[in-house]
Amino acid sequence: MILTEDDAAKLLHSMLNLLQSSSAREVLDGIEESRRLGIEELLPEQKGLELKQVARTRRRPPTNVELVQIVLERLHQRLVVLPTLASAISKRLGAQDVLWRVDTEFVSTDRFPEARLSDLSPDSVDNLMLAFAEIRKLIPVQTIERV
Amino acid sequence: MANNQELDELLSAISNLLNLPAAQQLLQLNSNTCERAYEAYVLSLCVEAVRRAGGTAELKGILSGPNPNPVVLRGAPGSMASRNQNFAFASCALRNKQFEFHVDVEYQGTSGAPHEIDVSMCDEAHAEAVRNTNGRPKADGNKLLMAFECKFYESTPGVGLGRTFVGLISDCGALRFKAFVANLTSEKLGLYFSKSS
Repeated sequence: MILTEDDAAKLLHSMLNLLQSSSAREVLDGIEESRRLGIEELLPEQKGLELKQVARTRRRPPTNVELVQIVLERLHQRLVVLPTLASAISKRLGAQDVLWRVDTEFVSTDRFPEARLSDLSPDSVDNLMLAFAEIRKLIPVQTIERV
Repeated sequence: MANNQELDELLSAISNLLNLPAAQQLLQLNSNTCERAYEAYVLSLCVEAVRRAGGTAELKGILSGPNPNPVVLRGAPGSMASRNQNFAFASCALRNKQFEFHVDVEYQGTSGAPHEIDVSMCDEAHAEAVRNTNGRPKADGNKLLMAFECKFYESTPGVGLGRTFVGLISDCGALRFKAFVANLTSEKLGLYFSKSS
């Protein structure tokens, strides 16, 4: 499926609303940070003395189509990569479960809440990965960083 | 250009995905948990590498000894000698070398300044001395052998953490190996490290 900028704008609006209603605050923060960092690209080939004096790259805002790719990449990391990491950790360390705890003499558990490996591999995670793969078939990955 | 039906199908597929209970759980994870999981993943790769090279690697809890259950890892940088939790490390042997892998431990750099290292390989005798004295491990000589900076990016990678890593390893003496490991590739970081290495 080839998305136009208008298609991508509709898609973005829906995806960001869904993420907001899912309370995916840190995922949204990451998307916003990526928007702020923009897209690095090479300057088009041109002749002239002035061009020799400047860097050949510049930063521009992402297009809607590029932002859709950025959102899908963030979802891929959260929904596909994290459960895959959890499975690899469990297998390689031979651990039923891993807990992350802090040294409470120095660190507050409010800031670093206790977590466990099973948080990263919820039930029916296979269905989740299949559902994501279906979406990726409709919108294939595009490389957008050009530097 | 997508037609309306295709776009509706795509929107419906995305809505179904994000409304799955498993997706809701993963989307609400604290980013610190994602970071810690990525460090644990790199630790597991180190353990696997030792075994593949013909060595042995065994998890130990600082309080319970071999094969702790559950395995407790640091949720924030801390002391290698801390006994406030049963923090685990990987005790390894390869040929005639004994060493340990630790997660999120503070080392003293060659300047004397403390540094947090996400995943580190430390000489076993030095690590034992640290535990026996309740001291801090040193990053010089043959004590800290490898250092890994691990980053689970939730946004486009910039070069900021790369700069921090270059500063960190410049204060770590002669490391046998060092690496900046991340979940996303970045040409910008690649360019920066190619210049600074």
